Amino acid sequence: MISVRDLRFAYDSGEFSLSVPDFSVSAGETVGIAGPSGTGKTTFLRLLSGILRPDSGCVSICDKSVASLTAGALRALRLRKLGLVFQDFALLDYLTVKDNILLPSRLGGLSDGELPARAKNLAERLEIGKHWGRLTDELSQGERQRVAVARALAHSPQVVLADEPTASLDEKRKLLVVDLLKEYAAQKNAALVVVTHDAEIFARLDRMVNTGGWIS
Amino acid sequence: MSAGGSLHLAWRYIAHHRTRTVLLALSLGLTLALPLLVRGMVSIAQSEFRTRAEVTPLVLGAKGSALELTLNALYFRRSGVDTIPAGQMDVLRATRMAGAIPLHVHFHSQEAPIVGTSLDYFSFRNLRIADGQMLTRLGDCMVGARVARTRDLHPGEFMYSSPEQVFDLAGAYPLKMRITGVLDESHSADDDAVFVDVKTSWLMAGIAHGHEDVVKNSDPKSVLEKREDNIAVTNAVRMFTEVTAENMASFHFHGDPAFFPLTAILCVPHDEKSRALLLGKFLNSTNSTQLVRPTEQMDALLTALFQARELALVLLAVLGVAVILIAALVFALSFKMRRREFATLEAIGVAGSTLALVKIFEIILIGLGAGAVVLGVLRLMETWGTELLRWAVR
Repeated sequence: MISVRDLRFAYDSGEFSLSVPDFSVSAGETVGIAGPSGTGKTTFLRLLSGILRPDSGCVSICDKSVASLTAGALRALRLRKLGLVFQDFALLDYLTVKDNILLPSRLGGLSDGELPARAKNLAERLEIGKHWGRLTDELSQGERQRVAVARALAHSPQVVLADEPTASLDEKRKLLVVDLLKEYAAQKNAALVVVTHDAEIFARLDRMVNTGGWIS
Repeated sequence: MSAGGSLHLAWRYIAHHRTRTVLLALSLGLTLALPLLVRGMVSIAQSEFRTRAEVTPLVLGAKGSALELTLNALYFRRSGVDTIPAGQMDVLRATRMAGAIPLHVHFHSQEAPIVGTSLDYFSFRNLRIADGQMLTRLGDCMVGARVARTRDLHPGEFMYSSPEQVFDLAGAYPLKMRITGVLDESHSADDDAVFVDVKTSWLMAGIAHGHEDVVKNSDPKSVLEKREDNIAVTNAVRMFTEVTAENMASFHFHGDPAFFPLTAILCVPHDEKSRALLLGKFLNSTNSTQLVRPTEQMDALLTALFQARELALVLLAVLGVAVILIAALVFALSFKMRRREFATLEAIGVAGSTLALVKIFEIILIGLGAGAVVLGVLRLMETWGTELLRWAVR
């Protein structure tokens, strides 16, 4: 489902360069990415999702080489096949919980008959159902983070890339989110990549990869 | 790309920032509406002024501003007009070329002009009674439809003329007038006036008065001098401020009626020839009167209005361009401030064309809001434009 070979990437500012010789995630597999702050975990997720393009090497996602796709095709792939949880949640504050969760589907014209029910069910599972009609800027950080998780899953993506999806959550809800992500991957046979520092989360995932050796 | 999704997002954004949206739509709408408003008001003015002027053939009044005289006779504007002696009525009638309707517009009641005239005025203007009856005696009044409606006046009730000189204790007292009738709506300046007989108007001016019988009833202390043909009394004698059936006989005029004041005389020539002859007669007149054609005065006023309109339109066009540029700047800055939001949407995978559509829909929605403001302003002008114009003229 996800395959990376000899990937090299450096920011123009020369901040650091990332070098990933080999990384792959198969369908239904759950992988955690660990490493000290500033070792390129978020950058790696952005490379996997095609938001950033590698300087060299090959990144394939959903059996498509990122290098071979145009910017438009890559965006379409992200919208339809990928579910992204951003570190800063990236919610639109002038939208309600419902509108935020349905946003990618609405703007991508992906709505199907079951989507609203599926989204509502996700919100209930993540204990934000009671805030369904409220604006997201009226919610706590933890609630906002769970809205971001629901948004990533609502359109049934084949790959879920989550950047610290439990950073703002208490113990109980942290496990709630991780279990939901795992359950989703198992049910939909989707690949799940989670960036986190939390050992308890790693214990629940299939395997763990450390970025320590990737940075130079 | 989903147009529905883009529209939804645009709508949610402008609904969330409603104050900014309303301000932007208002400023754009008013800028667009102003030129249309100017055009519309000038058009209403043209129609209103021409219509009333065309059915008023000639106006006789004191020399001076012909326009002020016309506005006094047609719209009951009370300032800027000298009076002429009522004897001019007889001069006109003596020519046997025209009918004459007196007008004395000097006083007001509850901000409505009081028009002293004769019963001929009502048939001349085709004014019908909606409720009550015609003027029957001195001190009676009839009110225009809008005066009655806005002040909730009905036949049988009373209204007072306003004192013209509050601090002049020797001046005429306000007169308590009995309302005998309410006129039907005529959609003209007559709706905003109070009509009395011209003699009642002179009564307000203090030319006539009524008081207790100084021969039979007055206190001997109030008699200053008593002669066979006259009796002089002090100010202690009670003056009547209302005409009733009991005291009506006591009202009397002082002086020669031929010299009582009129602000204008509506002159209705029997035919075109009479009209031309009358104009010639008064054109060569050396006395202090003038005979004016209201249509000529209104045309002159309209010409000035058209020139002012053209100038206003040029200025408004410049203002419009400035406002549109400012609006463009507001949109540009707003989109720039939302770069992070658009970057997020792109990161999720939303197409650039969809984001462009969101921006276009936002501009269109605010444009529709501005359009609604334009329609609202035009609707207001349609409903209240004529009233606004009459108020401005008055």
